[in-house]
Amino acid sequence: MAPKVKILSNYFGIDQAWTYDFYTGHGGYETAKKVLVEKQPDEVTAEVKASGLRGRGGAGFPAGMKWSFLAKPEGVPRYLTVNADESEPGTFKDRAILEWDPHMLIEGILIASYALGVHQAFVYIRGEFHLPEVHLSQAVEEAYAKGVIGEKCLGTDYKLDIVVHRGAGAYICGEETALLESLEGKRGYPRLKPPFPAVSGLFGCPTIINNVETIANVPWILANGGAAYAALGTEKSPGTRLFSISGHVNKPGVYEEELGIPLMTLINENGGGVRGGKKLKAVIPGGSSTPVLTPTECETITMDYEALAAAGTMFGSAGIIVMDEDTSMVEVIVNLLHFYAHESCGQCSPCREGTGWLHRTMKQLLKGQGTADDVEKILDIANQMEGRTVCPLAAAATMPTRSYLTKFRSEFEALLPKLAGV
Amino acid sequence: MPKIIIDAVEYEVEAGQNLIQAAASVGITIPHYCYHPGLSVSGNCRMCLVEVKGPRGVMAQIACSTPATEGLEVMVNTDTVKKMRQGVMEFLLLNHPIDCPICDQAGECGLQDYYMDYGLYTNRSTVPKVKKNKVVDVGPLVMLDQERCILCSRCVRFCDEVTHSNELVIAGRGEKCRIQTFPGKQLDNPYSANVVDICPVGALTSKDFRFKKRVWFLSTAKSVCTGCSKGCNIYLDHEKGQVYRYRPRHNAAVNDYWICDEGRLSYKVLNENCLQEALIHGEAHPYSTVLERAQAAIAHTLEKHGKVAIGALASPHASLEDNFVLQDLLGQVLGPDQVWGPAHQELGSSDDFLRQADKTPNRAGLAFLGISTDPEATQKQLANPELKLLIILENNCEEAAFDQLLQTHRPTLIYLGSKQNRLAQKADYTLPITNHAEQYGSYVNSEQRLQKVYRALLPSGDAQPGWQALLSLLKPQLKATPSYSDVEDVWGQLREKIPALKGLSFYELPEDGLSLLPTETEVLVAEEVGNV
Repeated sequence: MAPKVKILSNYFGIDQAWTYDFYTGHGGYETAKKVLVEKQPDEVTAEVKASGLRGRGGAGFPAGMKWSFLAKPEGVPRYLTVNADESEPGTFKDRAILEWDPHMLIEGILIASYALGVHQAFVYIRGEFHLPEVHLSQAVEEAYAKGVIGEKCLGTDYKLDIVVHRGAGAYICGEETALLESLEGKRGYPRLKPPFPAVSGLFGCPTIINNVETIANVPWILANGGAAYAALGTEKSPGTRLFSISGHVNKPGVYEEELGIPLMTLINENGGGVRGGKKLKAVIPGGSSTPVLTPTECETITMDYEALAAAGTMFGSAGIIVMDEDTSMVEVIVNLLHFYAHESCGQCSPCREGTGWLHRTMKQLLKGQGTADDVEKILDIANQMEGRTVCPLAAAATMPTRSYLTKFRSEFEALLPKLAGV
Repeated sequence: MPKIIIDAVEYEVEAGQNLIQAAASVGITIPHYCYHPGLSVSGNCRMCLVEVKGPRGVMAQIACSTPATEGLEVMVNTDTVKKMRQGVMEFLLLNHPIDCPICDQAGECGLQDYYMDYGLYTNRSTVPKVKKNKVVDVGPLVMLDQERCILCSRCVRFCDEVTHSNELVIAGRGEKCRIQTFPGKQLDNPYSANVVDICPVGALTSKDFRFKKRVWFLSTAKSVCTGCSKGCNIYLDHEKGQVYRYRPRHNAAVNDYWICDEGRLSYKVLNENCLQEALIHGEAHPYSTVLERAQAAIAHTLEKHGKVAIGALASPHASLEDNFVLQDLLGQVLGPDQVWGPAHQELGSSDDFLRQADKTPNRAGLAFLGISTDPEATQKQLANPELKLLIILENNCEEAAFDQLLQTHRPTLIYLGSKQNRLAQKADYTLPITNHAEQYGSYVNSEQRLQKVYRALLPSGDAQPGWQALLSLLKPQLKATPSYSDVEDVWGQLREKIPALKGLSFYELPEDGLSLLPTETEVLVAEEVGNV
């Protein structure tokens, strides 16, 4: 077996790993220096394209291709915005990067900005992330002080400013256009598309929005070449990924693995198996918004974009939530629906009213006060919501709802009042 | 002009429109709540979802943010589309109190209207409704019911984009979202009541109108606001001789979709102090008696003091027709120099949007007729002790100039007005005339736009249109009596005597008015001629 490649998590858990001295002591900013001096911006983009790196926020859109869509009109500033508003339940991998290795992110931003011709980058960080924000802001300050960023980045003529902006606690601000609205000081409402941010984004200027993990991969790709990255993982899902494993496992945590790893390997080897030797009941593979997998499905599935899509679910943010045999699936969905009803921004009618309706109906069902047609009704409401809204939050609520109801239907029906005489 | 396909039929539509506008232009209604042509597109209600054929197959898309571009193919009436609308209606009504019987919007409510077409007609909800605040006093003119609100954000966008005063916000998230003002702030701007008009449901209601009248009892006439010289186009809603409200009527050249609060409330004067009877020194007398005695006074003055002893005041409150007839007939009797403009200005608050400082609706109409609108010139005329008889048309004047006039040489006053005001009381002979809601007529606004009003109410009491009263009054002095029986007859004279109106008639005047300013071509031609 080839030695395990670690791109992102080399220094997780090491004291002072977040400092400039530690980072440069381990070869940090060498790649950026080389790139800024030796490479043309287009070459950088080409390298990222060649790596096949896919966005790590959830949608999995090829990062290099996204970069190539950036409009470059004369005399208009362009922006890079790093989405650090990690709020998907079951996902805590960006937090690890921000907390342990913020300079890696800054180096990624520097290279990406150079490639995109950006002179101002923003990091929109989740408001609840206190320690990560402290470490990131310290790192940005250090980077300014050491001349890594600022008027003359690493001694070159390239100029870059990085602004760290704290969110105020809204899941929806992780949606890229809601994030832009929030960054502009407005209410976090997702925008109508088109126009896409690459054409008209932050303050109406062309903007690229990437996830923390996506950007953090960039220095390694430039240091080792796109081909080396593409060689990792599977053909369509290259590279490694940070898996957040939580729920009923013995060793929850963030684990970096190549894509294409079997789910059960992650659960049993990285996660140390199901807690208390219990049987597995269900697994959420990519954050709470993705459809759930049954134990049978888990047996064979590998963690890559193709395999998960083929199984009718999604890779999402790679937040794996493991549930053991004692879990009530109705309670799980009530909990999740509470989250989505609470976090719906309220802009579109179907999502605003629908998430709350689903939650309250499901809660009633859990209490044993449901009605005979509740299951069918909930499925129909879900159909009325999905694909009818500005952003995918409605779908994020309805996809799991539908999967729980269809895969564990008997559990829901058992709670329905029994008909007299039957 | 792009060609688009709606439900398999090809239409040619104007470029630069969205699908809702384009469909409307060919007579197809796509239901919508949040979209308003005078505001930005927010795309939140999802009522206008239609199916659009694209490279990736048929997709559900909102019509308000879909540009009607060449080759666009949409389905607006399929079962899927109907089901989507039904779904949206169900969501919108889920937490709505359904209190139509006590709601002022009933009868003109978007929820009611679309429910007829896309209602589910059965309640599938088994959970309690979300409670929000009711009877929220958001401003001096507007009352808010948060539970009836469908959060279309039209009102918020109005305050952000039109008045730029930003009073309203949507606070909270998800189903707890509600419209409110910033703490301690009120929806108090000069245009605040427009939010009531654009609110598609009963969430924002007018404090002035609520609980006064069910809207289905109201009749509507197209009219023009007479609160200032802007001449905003309005609908005048009335029932049984009483006017209940003004609502803005779209006119891109004047007021767009809006009117100011001051103008909106100016309907009240139509219901108050209407002069219904002819008066002599403030005492009611039969119309014919007053008319005869006023005629006699004119004849006597003419005979004893000659033409120069008689003057007449045209009015910026009266219609173009009234003023024209005054000018025309008196010109025949006295000569052209005896008709003067108003003796004073009526100024008030103004801004750079709609409200004009000049609070009279037809001052530009006087200028158009060639009547001086310089108050000082008129004051000089009035101060002339030779003046023995003064005919005053519709005047709201209450101020010092007249008091002085009455105290010094005290000419005989014949007043033709629609209001029970001080002048009506003090004049020797007062004849009631109709106000702008009781007659057909036209006004010229400060931008030189000739706009017409339709008669909404029957004249109260003995009131006659001003031109008719003038005709009766001056009949004995006229060599040839013109036979005016309606406003169109007056227009027969107007188009004959005023070159700018050549070939026009009252009924052919466009609904959105006619600019009296020279067109670009006319300006160019004039320049050419000047150069030659």
